[in-house]
Amino acid sequence: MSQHERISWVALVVTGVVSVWYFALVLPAPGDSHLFGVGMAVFAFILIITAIFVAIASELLLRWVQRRTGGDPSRRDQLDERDRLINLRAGRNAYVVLFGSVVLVLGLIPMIQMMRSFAWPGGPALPNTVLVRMVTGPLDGPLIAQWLLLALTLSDLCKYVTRIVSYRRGY
Amino acid sequence: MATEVRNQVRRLRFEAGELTQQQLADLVGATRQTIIAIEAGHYAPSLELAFRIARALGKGIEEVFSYPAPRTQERTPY
Repeated sequence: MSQHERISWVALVVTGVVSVWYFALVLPAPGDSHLFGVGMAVFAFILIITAIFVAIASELLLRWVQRRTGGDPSRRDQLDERDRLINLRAGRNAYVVLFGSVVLVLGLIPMIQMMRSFAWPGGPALPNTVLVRMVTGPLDGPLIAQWLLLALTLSDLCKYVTRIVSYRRGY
Repeated sequence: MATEVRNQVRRLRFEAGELTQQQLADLVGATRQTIIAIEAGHYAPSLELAFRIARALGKGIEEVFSYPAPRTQERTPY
């Protein structure tokens, strides 16, 4: 397994664990809870910093292991043409996911709101959670930030999965 | 995902003084994983890398890489 593939695995696991933890805590939370708003922004910031720290620490650990096992980390770090092609493909797929998510949010939420106002005038009583507020809107700053975070996370996960699949199955 | 480009890199590597994959990778400026992927038919190298590999093995590019001719459809007489 190449160094770049290992890094992709580490990044995928770290991003996956952190994002699942974050969204599992935030999405079912009450829409007006202390987690929502400034508290949530601080929480997200701490999680992002933790994810970056873990990624850097694991990268350093991998280099240390490689040095101990006789590898030459400086040479193995170089990207060759296949790595660059795989990175390009991963970046393209990640961009498609990011762009698709943004289009989905911009189109889906107004549509859901419109359908709700036509089909159920007055609207049925929905649970007051962050997830429901994100879908039914109206969107305000913190809700848009959650959507953006979700879109960026999905796009990152797609990037790492594409890299790993390309390294495993060939390019 | 296999590529249509066939190659004789593995055989020629042994004929060229039993070069290891890492040695060939160092000679051509690629990673060992790329050489492995080429030998397994999982990656078709760029023309430039193909020339570098052929040169490192002391062969012409057509001795190292080949591309099967497309199968022509038989014409049915009418």
